[in-house]
Amino acid sequence: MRVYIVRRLLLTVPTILGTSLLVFLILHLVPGDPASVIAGPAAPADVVANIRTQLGLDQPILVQYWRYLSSALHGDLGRSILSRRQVSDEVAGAFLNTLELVIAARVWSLLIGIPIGVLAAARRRSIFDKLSMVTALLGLSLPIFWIGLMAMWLFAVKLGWFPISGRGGPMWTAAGLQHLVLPALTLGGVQVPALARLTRSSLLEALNQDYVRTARAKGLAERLVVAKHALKNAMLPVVTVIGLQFAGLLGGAVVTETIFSWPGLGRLAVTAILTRDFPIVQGTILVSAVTFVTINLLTDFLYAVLDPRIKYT
Amino acid sequence: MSTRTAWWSALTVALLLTLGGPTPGAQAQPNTLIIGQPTDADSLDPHKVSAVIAVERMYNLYDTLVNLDFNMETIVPGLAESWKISPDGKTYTFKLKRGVKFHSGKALTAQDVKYSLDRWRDPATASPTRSRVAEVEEVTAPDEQTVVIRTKDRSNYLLFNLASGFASIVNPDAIKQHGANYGTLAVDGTGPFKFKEWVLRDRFVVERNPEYRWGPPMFKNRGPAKLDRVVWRVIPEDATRLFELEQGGGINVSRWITFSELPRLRKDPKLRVVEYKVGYVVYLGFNMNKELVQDIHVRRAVNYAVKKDDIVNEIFYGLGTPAQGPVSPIVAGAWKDVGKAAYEYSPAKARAQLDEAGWKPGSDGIRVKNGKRLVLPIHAIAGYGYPDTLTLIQAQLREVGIDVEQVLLEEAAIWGRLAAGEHTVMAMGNPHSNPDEILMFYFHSKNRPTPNRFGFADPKVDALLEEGRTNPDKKRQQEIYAEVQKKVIESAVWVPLWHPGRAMIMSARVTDLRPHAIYDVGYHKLVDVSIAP
Amino acid sequence: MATLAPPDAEAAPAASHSDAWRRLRRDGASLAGAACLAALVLIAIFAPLVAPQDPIRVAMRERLQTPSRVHWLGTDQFGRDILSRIVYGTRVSLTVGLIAVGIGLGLGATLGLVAGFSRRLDYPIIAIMDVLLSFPQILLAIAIVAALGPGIFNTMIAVGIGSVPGFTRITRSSTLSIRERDYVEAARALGATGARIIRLHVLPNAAAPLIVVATLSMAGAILSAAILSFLGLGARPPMAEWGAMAADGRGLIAQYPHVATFPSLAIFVVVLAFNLLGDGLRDALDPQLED
Repeated sequence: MRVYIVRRLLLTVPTILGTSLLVFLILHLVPGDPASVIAGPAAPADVVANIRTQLGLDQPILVQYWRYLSSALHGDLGRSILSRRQVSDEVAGAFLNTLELVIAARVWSLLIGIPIGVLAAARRRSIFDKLSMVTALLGLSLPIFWIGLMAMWLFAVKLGWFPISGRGGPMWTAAGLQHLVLPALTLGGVQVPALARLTRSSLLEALNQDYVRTARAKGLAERLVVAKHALKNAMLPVVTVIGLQFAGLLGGAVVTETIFSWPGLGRLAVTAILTRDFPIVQGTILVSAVTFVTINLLTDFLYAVLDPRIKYT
Repeated sequence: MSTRTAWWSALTVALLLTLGGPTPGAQAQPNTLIIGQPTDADSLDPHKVSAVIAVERMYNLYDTLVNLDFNMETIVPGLAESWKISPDGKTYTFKLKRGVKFHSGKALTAQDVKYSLDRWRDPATASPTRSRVAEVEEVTAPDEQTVVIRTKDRSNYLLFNLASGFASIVNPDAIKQHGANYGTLAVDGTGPFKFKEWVLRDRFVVERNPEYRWGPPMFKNRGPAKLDRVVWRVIPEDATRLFELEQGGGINVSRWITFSELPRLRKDPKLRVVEYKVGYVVYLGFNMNKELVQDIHVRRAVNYAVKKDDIVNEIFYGLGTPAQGPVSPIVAGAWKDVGKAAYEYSPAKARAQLDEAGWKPGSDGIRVKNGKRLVLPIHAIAGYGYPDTLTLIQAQLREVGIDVEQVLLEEAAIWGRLAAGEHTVMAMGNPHSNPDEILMFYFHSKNRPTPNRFGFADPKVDALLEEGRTNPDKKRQQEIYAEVQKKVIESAVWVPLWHPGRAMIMSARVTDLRPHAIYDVGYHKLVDVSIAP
Repeated sequence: MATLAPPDAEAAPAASHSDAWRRLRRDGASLAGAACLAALVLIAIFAPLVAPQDPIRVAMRERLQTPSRVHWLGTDQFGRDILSRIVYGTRVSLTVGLIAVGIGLGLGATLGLVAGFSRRLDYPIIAIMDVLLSFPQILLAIAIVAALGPGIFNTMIAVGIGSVPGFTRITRSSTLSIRERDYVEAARALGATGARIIRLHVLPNAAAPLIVVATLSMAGAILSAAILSFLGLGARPPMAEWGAMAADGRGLIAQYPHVATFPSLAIFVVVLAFNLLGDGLRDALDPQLED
């Protein structure tokens, strides 16, 4: 098992390197550079060139990448071209803010989505089942920006129950929590339908398996059958998808963060891409890749825990 | 009730109490002005930035040698209480105020001023606004209270440039101490507010400098600010910003609003809408290196076909004036008779121009010549009202048979392309406080390919512009700039669209917040401002 | 590496096509979805006949009107008829879905086949897919659009590329599982070429999950394109694209919510239709969930 873990970890390295190189190439082989953003519209050509040289942007691409890589390996991710802050500080701060949002969204979507899925599977073909699945489909299809704007308009503006925008502080404070509700609701809201449907379908599949029929035949109470046997196995694909969705949430957070002025990684990444702030883009993609890879690993472990039939060599 | 139900009820109640409490929008922070903006500044090092958003903060954190009065014409004292200009116009001697201190406690000396100005001019600093002090030859500090600036030639605009936010005086010790972190993690100036906290892309907080006693005379309050704190909050979404201002009390003032809300906001008794003029021009500029627009008939046709009134009234709800020439009418030295040279709105004349040039209407209404359709690609920034403006212009030009293709790009992408001359037409705008800022930058031949992105070159114009910088005779200056504008208008290299007005929308509780038009900041020093509880 | 293909990606035991048809026809929801899509396709094709007015005609005097008899869905900030714009927007959205998924399917299936058949190219292809997957899809799309420039066509490419890894995975696993089967060995022994094997065995086997994922991906592609336009990176004005229309209306939510709401509902309808159909297809082709 240990060998497997180490092998997996080592294999993530080329993935992360590959991602970083790909981003670098895409952005650099493209027109646009931050020097002119800094210089502004009225700057003469020599001033812009001056800034570009100062930032090292006139070097050949591979030289720039090499420079970036060698300092990165020493722990120095460089400075944002526009804000001049350490990339590690900026990205870490933004990442933690997005993590707050994503975790909150995840928690509430799990709390609502899974029970609905379980109930729907248990009461198969009932009105509840049909209704909840249809509602789930509806939720899956609404564009997230509309949900966010409507949620803000209804709950914050018209009803005044929650603050309109911004982050109010760490999530363990009252102010922080209040500001977290609507964005988390919006982001998580899009996840609930998928989770509910998935839970339902994998639970149904599990309930059809032989070992469940055996348990039923042995006369065990229905509830016990469902809870102990079927649910545990049904969770496998759900866990997988939760993992897969996590990386996706990072991107989905972009719209939510824009609408609610949440100072997170999504907004940072988009702004950095649009202003060609290369070090920041590299930093955000790095964080995202590492997160994705970590989640994958964790998911696989959960897999092993939940299903002892899976052995890793 | 069963224990389970009790638990659930208790939990629900607890949750509701925490989450559904009174909206904390009106933060219990008295005497704090909260400004709402769509983006954040990057740095507050005056020699590293060019953005308006940075300048308005710098006016509050720093001081400059001199200041520009609200009337946009008079130079008034700043850190310099008086100054003398030599008869040949090449030597300026400034006497500094006494008792001025940086936030760190260090006393301001002439050496600090020299350091700041030298750093600004130094190519190694790579300041984006370096060209504003290009004519300065040397800065010296003969004693603690005196600064002497020598220029290469007489300069009519040095004082204007010394009043800009980029001329802010910095503390050399702070720069040396913080190095690359200066302007982001630490700021040390002499201004009425001190740097307190900066959560990037969220909020920027400054607090009152209690030692401040050297305010410029254009404000009523020359001493410490009345406000305890000023917060700049970053709110990227327009609707959100509006909600925060109107309902939540999350911000007290903003300059950035959805224009269609203006009529309603103007009537709201809880708000005050202060509309003011700025020195700014938005224009369409033709790249005369492109064959399609080399024919002056095409350029004139566009000039005749654009209905500027509609742009101002329909998109921007009357917040501004149609432009007749490149220079805003409110700046010092503006040409009063520019209307006589300008193109009026006349689709008939536009069509006549195109007919004369051999462009015949095709089957879909768009004109064709030698098998080529008259389609103008217009480059513009994807924001700031440009897409809407171009959509309207598109509709207007179709009436006379010209089609438009909108090439909308984000800022980082557009400047490089414009500098490379990729555009046929571009839509852009620029703040300015005197005619030289616009005319010299954009129409002097030495400024090609950028900022003169139009390929405009006229030796007579060059000579006039250079004379305008050095000739002290105000009447002659007027003549010069009138002549230059006449030539620019005649060449139809630009279609001046409109001079934006600005609206500062504030809670009615805010008093004495007077917008300043310099560099389009709006917020100059906030020393007079107070908020009623 | 443990594969993390979506749960339905494994090739189901081949359900006979007539069985699948029967199941599909009995499923009310997916029939509704299919009917809806058929209607939308017709609307898209006959847009000039369906739309009551010119979608790009600017009429400032009529702007920001709420729904009325003249303008059934009201007008936007340029006085353009929203209903007409939504009708024409159908063309854009369906085209985006089709081309984006087409790119993803074409590239992805090809790469998947290659990876499944060629041991040498398998690892590099999987590695590249992993790299692509470790990007949040929307950021990858934004980066590509930033690189290629504005415009709806580049949006299609950006969204299409983002969907490639999914299709690659499915095709690859189908190919791998088929390759080992006895009848394929037999066919090989008898001299069948790779191409024939692909045509006769691999593709039919992979077809089912590919169809399902393709249908569901259309929904995702349309949503992604709308989000990109919402962020200002998709269709250029004055093109009537639903996401761009919603973006236009976002600042007006307080007073004129109809400007952003109607296009959002249009997006919702199309995405829902694709989801219903995709679900139905999945149920029809993978019968394990029936009682």
